[in-house]
This record gives sequence, C-alpha cells and structure tokens, in this order.
Amino acid sequence: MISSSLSDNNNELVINVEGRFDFNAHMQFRSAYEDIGLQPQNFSVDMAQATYLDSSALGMLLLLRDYAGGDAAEIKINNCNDDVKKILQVSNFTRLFVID
Amino acid sequence: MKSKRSTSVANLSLVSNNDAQVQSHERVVIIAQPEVVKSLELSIFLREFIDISYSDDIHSFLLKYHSINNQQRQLVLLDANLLIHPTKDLCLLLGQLASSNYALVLLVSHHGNDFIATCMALGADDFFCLNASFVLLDAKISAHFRRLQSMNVGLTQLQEYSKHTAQALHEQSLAKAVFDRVTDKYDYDLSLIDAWLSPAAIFNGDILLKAIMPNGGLIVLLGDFTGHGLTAAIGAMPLASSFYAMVDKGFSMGDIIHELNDKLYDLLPSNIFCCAAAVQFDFSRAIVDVWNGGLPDVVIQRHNNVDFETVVSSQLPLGVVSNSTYPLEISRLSMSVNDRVWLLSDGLLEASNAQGHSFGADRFLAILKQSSHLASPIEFIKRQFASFNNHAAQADDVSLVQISMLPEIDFLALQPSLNRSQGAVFPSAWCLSLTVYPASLKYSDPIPQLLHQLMELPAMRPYNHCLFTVFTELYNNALDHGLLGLVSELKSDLMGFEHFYARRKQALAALDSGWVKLSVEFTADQEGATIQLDVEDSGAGFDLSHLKAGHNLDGSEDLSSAHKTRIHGRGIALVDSLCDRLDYLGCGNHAQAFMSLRFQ
Repeated sequence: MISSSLSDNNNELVINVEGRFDFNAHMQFRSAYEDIGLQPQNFSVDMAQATYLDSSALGMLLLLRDYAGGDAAEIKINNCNDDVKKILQVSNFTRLFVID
Repeated sequence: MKSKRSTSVANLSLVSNNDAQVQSHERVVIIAQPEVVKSLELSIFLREFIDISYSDDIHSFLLKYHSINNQQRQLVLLDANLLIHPTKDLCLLLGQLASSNYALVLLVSHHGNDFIATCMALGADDFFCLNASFVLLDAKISAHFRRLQSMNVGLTQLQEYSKHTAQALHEQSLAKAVFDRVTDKYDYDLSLIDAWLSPAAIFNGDILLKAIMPNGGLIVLLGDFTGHGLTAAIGAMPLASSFYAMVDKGFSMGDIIHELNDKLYDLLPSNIFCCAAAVQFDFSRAIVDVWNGGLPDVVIQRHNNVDFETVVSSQLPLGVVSNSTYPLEISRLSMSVNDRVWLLSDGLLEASNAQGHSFGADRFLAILKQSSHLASPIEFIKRQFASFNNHAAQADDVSLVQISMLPEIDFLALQPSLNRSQGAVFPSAWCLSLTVYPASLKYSDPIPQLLHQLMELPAMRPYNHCLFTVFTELYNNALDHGLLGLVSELKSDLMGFEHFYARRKQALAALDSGWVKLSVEFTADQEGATIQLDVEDSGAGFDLSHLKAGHNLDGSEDLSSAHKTRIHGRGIALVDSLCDRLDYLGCGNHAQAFMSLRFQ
C-alpha cells in the first residue's frame, strides 16, 4: 500500500510505504508523485510501515530520483527497519539517498 | 425459433439445429417425455432468444450430443422420469456435458426428497416441480443463464491469460536461445568452478559469466538484474557480450567492470540495474582481486582457517550511475591452493520455509563451515537447504558459485581444447623483429603489440592464451635475469616475491644500457601455422646444466628434485610444455621457441 501527503506549503511530498514494497506497488508508487499535479521541492519516502523491499522497489526509488532531478535530487528515506536498511546498504543506495 | 413450434411434439426425436441457431449463445436443451414437453412449451417458448432442442430419452440425446456447439451456454432440463437407472444415466449425461458450460435442472413431479437430493449430489444443479408455477421456471432459467454467463467471462479471461503465458514462455525461450549463443563459445566446464544455478536463472535475472583471460588468469562475474522474465534477460545480453569482448581484448577486471557499468547505464532505463560481484584469479602470483557492487558478501574460505574473510558490497550496482561518479573499489587478497571464493545472489539467503524463517547469512556461513573439508561443498549445501525447507520445493532463484584456487600448472591443464575456427584463406609468411632498449624497457610491454599482429588471423585467436604465456615468460626471463641480473632464488618464499619485485623495480629504474630482441617468424595456411619466437638479450646468459637439473626439457618436472615445490623456476617448464621445442642458444642469452599449431 502506498499513500502520499503534501506538506502545508506544498514544499514537500511524503510517500508512505506500507507492507511489502515490491513490483506490485509499481503503479501506486508512480502515481504517488506523478499524479499530484505539482512539483514539490523535496521528496521523502517514509518506510515506517514497510516490511520488505526487493530490487524492483530499488528501481522505483531510482525512478523517483530521476523525477526529482537525478543527481541534483536529495531524497530522504526515513524510518527504515533493519531489513530495509540492510538492503539499501548492500546496494549502496546510501550514496544516492539520505537514509535515516 | 417460432418455426420450432411446428415440430411435432408427438415425435420427439432430437431436433437438429439449423445454422442460425448454432450462432446463438444460449440454448435450452429439453430431454423429456412428450407430455412434459408440451406442458413446458407455453412457458419457455416465449423466450425468443433461446435455442431449444428436445430429446425424449437420454441415450438418443447422447448419440447426437457431439453436434452441439460447446461454446454455448446450455441449460439442460431433464425429465426425472427418464432416469431409469438414476446414478448410471445421470453420470453418463454429466460426463458428456462436462466440457461445456452448462447447468442441469431436474424436472420432478412425484419424486421423493431423497431421490432429488441424490441427483443433486451426483451433479444436478437445481430442480423444478412440474406442478409449480412456470413463472418460477422462467426465473430459474434466467438465474442459471446469468450465472453461466459470468462463468463464461471468467473462462474467456482464463483462456486469454493462458495465451499470454504461452506467448511469454515462447519469448523467454527465444531470449534464452539468443543468450546461449552469446555465451556458448565461452561455456567451458572448468572443474575449479562449482555452481548451483536454477536452470532458467537468466529469467530470475541471475547471470554467471566466466572466461579465461589472455594472460592466463580467470575472471568470474555473478550478476543479479532487477526484475524477472524478459525484463531481466534484456540486460543480460549486452552484459555478456561486452564482458567477453573486453576479456578477449586483454583488459583486466577493473576496466571490464567500468565498461559494463557504462554499457548498462547507457542502455537500460534507470529502474533496471544489475547487482554484481566479480573475482579475478591470478594463478601465477596466487592472488585474487574481488569487487562487489550490490551482492551479498563475497566469502573467502581458507583451506586452513575456520574463520571467513568477506568482501562486502562497497559500490552501487552496475548501470545506476555513470563512470564519472563510479570509482572502483577492488580488494586484493593473496591466496593459497585450495582456498575457496564464494559468490552468491540474495535468492538463497532470502529463501524462506513454511515456518516463515529465512535461510539467512548466519545459517549459510555455519553450513559453509561444516562443508570445508568436503570435495563438493555445494552438494552438501543443497542437502542442508532441502532439509531446511523440509524438501518442500526447490528454490528457483538460487545462484551460488564456488571457485577454488589452484596451482598455475593445474589451471593451465584444465583449459578447454581449442575452438574450431577457420584457417588462413591466403597463406602467409612473415618475420617481425623488434629490439627494445632501456627507455622503452622501463615503461612499455612489447608483447601485446606482437600478439596483436599474430591475432590478425582469426584462426589464431584460440591460441591467444598460450602464445601470451610463452611470449611473456621468455621476455620476462630475458629482462629480469638476462639484463637486470636478478636471481630467481630471491623468490624462494612469498615474502621473497615482494622482495624480488622491489629489487626489479630498482634495477629497471637504474638500467641505462642493453637490449632485448624479439623475433617472430610466422607461416600459416589452411591447415595450420608455425611460429618461431627468438628472444635474445645483451646479458651474460646462464649455465644450461643448471636448468636441466630441475626440469626435463620434455616439460615434465623431475619428481625426485626439491625443485618441485619451489616457488620460482616454473616459467621455463611451463613454456616448454606449451611449445614443440624450446632451445637455449649461445651462452644461454638466446631462447628459441618453436610452435606448430593446427587449425581445426
């Protein structure tokens, strides 16, 4: 399950991931940032409710990064549990995202 | 439909359908005695859209049944009085209907509850009492058709799905065939590599590439692409073809990884990338270079130590960022014979059993520890995995690879027989001579240049490894011992190796006179080629009797000699085993190697 919310000043989009973050979430994840009708300055992904992510989820994060400006983008990934953090670390996504 | 009404009710044989009726999607089949049919007529004959046929006994119905279009939704109204042997007759009828989309409604009159219940248990869907209002029968018929129609929708979707699945499988097998052709000529079976890969690994996104390098080394890469199926296979093609092209050109692991990263970054959309790890074996110096970009820890298992060393993923996967922000981090480890390197994708570690426990890295390492003394540890790991998941199912996305360190001479013996290739279309005969002086001796290596000249002829390419070894060994001997005057005894132990190379660097920097002359005399025709390589140096030469004490010139080593275990001095024996003849001329400062190669 993916949901998203904009901050009061429309500056930041927070995407919440719940449960397994895998290929089945593809469409939902994309529409979470493509269908909001404006381009916020900052993006963050809240993994507090995420139990697992696979490599296609990593791919989705890369698509979000492209959307948010590629190398210039600074996307935060917050509240990762240990499993999720481990996967982000093994793939060294810590170099592309700000992981908390 | 109304024309049917003229059919004599008294003569109730099966009415054959005309073509127009076959087109109809819904039909009612009545199998009943004449008086029952007559009473039904008033009700259902009002349904213009329904195609109706009659039969007055089950057996005549069955005889004609094949003429009914199975695509139709059929409502069968069966007069219960025709069931002479209820179980047998009903089963026969249901068996015949089984492949079609139907509902069977029993028409009952005086029949008891038990009889009706038995028939429904056998497969009748519903019943109607003939003394009830036909409004109810109409309602039942509508309800059953509604249900059959929704089943039809499901069935159609299922058929579509099967068609797509078949198409996807077909496309995958096509991709697999193309991929196999890319890797085919490199698919040699080297016993130092043992692997557990699922049969269609490429469609799990896993790919194992291995190649013998022109310098006699070995490179193995395990990759795990994002996604499954064709998505995963698409990236595997350029990865494999670039990998082999780079190996053939003589590049080493670092350059190869950069090329692969660049290729995948250029070709693939940004959400598709490849987690990978690679290891490059240098058998002559007994070292490995290990690189890990996104795979689980690469494990180094020493033959004489229970503790593991690991090379953790230190980089982004291939294809995520451009080379400008992708400086390579490669670990170099010295190895002993029988030390093992393990590469794996996350499939094995993430596999979980019925209790929801994942296999995990700790369990994997514990099993690895138990397997250390076994000749085929992968078999052991497979069995342990099977008991972990209670033999439930084979893991379908496991990729596990083990490579053992070998003595160089054993690795050379393992190399596959050379590939079939085309001979020279036109005969050739030439001699190339190159003399190298200190300024060039210090900074450049003339061997790739000479080899490149020989490899112009495609039929020579399978001999690339072998020629590289012969040329390099003889050239290094001339330079190290002939010109620089270094003695092999310096290399007597592993520390000595480093000492030797430090001295070599010093001596080379100080070198201000002398030369090494390389001459290649080459002839080739349709059948094969001969190569004579002369390597002369301006040094003082050496005492040939010293050489023969350690090695017989037929290539075999003198088993009684202590030389067998010494670290240096293998070079000449190796060259000798690869050549038809190896002679030392003059005062030992002139090596002459002769090779005769057959094109197959």
